Amino acid sequence: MANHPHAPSQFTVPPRVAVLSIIGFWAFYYVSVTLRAWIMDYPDHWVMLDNRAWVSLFGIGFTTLMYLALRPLEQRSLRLRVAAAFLFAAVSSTAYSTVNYLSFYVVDPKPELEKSDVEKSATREAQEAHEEKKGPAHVIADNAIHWYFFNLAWAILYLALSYAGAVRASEREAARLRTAAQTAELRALRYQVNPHFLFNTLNSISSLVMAGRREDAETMILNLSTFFRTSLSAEPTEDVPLADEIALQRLYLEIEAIRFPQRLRSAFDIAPEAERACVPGLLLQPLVENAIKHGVAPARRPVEVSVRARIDGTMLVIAVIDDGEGVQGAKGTCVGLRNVRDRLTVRFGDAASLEAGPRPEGGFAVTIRVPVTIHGC
Amino acid sequence: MVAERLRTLIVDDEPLAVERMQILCAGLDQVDLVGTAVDGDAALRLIDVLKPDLVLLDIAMPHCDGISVAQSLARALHRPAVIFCTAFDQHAVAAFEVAAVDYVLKPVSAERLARALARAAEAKGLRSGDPAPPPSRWIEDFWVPHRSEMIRISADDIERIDAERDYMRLSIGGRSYLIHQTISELERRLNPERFIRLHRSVIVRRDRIVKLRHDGLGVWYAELIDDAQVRIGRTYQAAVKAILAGR
Repeated sequence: MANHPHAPSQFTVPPRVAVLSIIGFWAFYYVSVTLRAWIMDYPDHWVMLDNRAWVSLFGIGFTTLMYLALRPLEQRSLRLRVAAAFLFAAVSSTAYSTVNYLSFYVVDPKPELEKSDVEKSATREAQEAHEEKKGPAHVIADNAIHWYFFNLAWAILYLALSYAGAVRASEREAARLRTAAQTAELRALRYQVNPHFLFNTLNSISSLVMAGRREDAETMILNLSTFFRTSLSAEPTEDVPLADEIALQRLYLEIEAIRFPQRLRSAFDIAPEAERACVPGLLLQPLVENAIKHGVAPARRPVEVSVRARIDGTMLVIAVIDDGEGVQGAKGTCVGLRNVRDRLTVRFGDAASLEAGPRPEGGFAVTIRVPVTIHGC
Repeated sequence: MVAERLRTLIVDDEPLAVERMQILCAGLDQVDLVGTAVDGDAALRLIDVLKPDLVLLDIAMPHCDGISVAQSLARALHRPAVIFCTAFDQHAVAAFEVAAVDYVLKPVSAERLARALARAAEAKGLRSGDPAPPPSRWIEDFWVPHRSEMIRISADDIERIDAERDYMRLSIGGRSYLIHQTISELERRLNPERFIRLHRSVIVRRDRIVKLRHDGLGVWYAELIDDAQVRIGRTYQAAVKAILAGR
C-alpha cells in the first residue's frame, strides 16, 4: 500500500478527513454530555470536566488506532471490512472503557460522585446501583458495551465515507478515461498523408524541373509545402473556420490539377455566411481525395469536383460532389467515408450526419450536416 | 560492340509523368522511344501495332491498369519486357502475378532507370529466338520493398514464411521482407514440391526441415536447419508426416 504510485490519493478517505471526523465525534460527545449535565443541573458536574476531557482525548487516540487498523483493509471486500469494523470497535471500546474506569475511579476519583448519582440516565442508575457490588472487570465490561456502539458508529461512518470516496474516485477515473478515449479516437482518425499523392506530386515536380518549367515547379513546391505544413500541424481535436478548410482544399485541388491537367476541373460555391462556421480541421480532405481517386483518376474525360457549403437554419451543410463514373462500393471509399463519419460522431454525436451515394445524373456526392458554431475556432 | 537499342513505349496517365520519362529516356543511348500511351487500353493497342521491346508501365491508370496490361501481355504473342513504374509500393504485392523485368519507384533517377534498362536488354537477349516458355503455375519471383527500392527475390531462395497480421514475412539468409498477402494464397501459389505449410501461420522450404519430433502429448515439432523449432499445427500433421516420409 505504501508503495502505491499515486501517493496523494492512495486512501479513499483522506487521512485529514478521517482524523477530523474522529475529533468531531468526540467533541460532539464531550459537548453533548457536558450540556446534558449542565441542563439537568447534575451536582458537581464541573469537577468532572477535566476527567471527561482526558478520557475523550484517550477516546480520540483509540478511535484513531481503530482507523489505522481499518485503513489497510480498504481494498478488501465490504463484508470483511464490516466484520473488521465490528471487531475493532469492540477492542477500541474495551480499551476506552478501561481508561475511563481508571480515570474516574482510580487515578482521580471523585468520591462524592458515587454517593450522589451523577449521571441520572436510567441506564446509569441501574449500572451504578450494581457498581458497589461489582469489581473493576464488571464495570469495564459494562461500560465497554455502552461505548461499543459509539465506536462502531464511527467505524461505520468511516466505511460509508470510504465507500463514497471509492465511488467518487471511480467516477473521476471513468470521466478521465472517457476524455482520453475521445482524444485518442480523434488522434487515430486524424488525416494521414497519402503517400501515393506525395510521390506522384514529387514526380510531377521533377518533370517540371527537367522540362525547365521553373516557375510552375516553384509554384507546385510552395503549394505542396503549404498543404503538408497545414495537414501535419493540424491539431485533430481542434476546429478551424470553414474558410480555412476550403482554402486548403483549393490548394490540394490546384496540386492535383497539375497532375491531371486534362481531366480535373474544380468548382467552389461557398455561401459567405458559411465561411465563418467552425468545422473539424481536414474534415473534407478524405472526401476530396476520394473524388480524385474514384471520380477523376479512373476517368478518361474531364471530371468536375465541386465543393459547396451553405447554412440551413441551425445546420451547416457541406457537399463534395464529382460528376465522374460513380463508385460501385469501392473499398477505398468506405475507409475515407467511415473516417469522416467517425470523426463527426466523436465530435458531434447524433447532431451531425453524413450521406453518401451515387448521383442520379452520374458521379458521386457526399453531404455533411453539422450544427453551426461560429465561436471557438 | 554496339548494343541493340530497345524500342520503348511509355505508358502513364499523368502527362507530366510521361514527359519526365521521355526526357530521361532521351538522355539514354540504349532507348529508342516509339510512343506514349495515357491508359491501359491505348497501351495494348499501341503494343499490338508498334511491337516494342520494352514497356515502361505505370500501375495506377483509368480502366485497364498496369497489372491488367501486363497480364494481357503474358498471354500475347508479342511479349515485350515490362518495367513497372509506380509512385508507391502498395501494388507491389500483385507483381509476382506477372513477369516484370524490373520495378522502379517514381520519381526514378536516371541511374536507376539505366539499370532497369540494362536488365531489360539482358532479358531481351535471352529471349530472342526462344519460343515462349509456358508460364509456370508456381510463383518464381517476388518483388519486395527494400529500403527505397523494389527488389526481386527468387521464390526458391525463401527459407520460411511467417504470417504477421495482414503481412507475410519472407525470410532469406538472415534477412526478411514483408509483403501484403494472405498465407493461403501464398500456399496455393508456391511449388508444393519445395514448400510445406506447418502451421496456420508458418510455411517453410522443405529442405530446411532436419527432423520431426514429438513431445509425447501428440504435439509435433519440426526442427529446422537453423535449430528453430516450429510447432506443427494439428490440421497439418498428417500431411507433413506423409509427405516427408515419402520423399
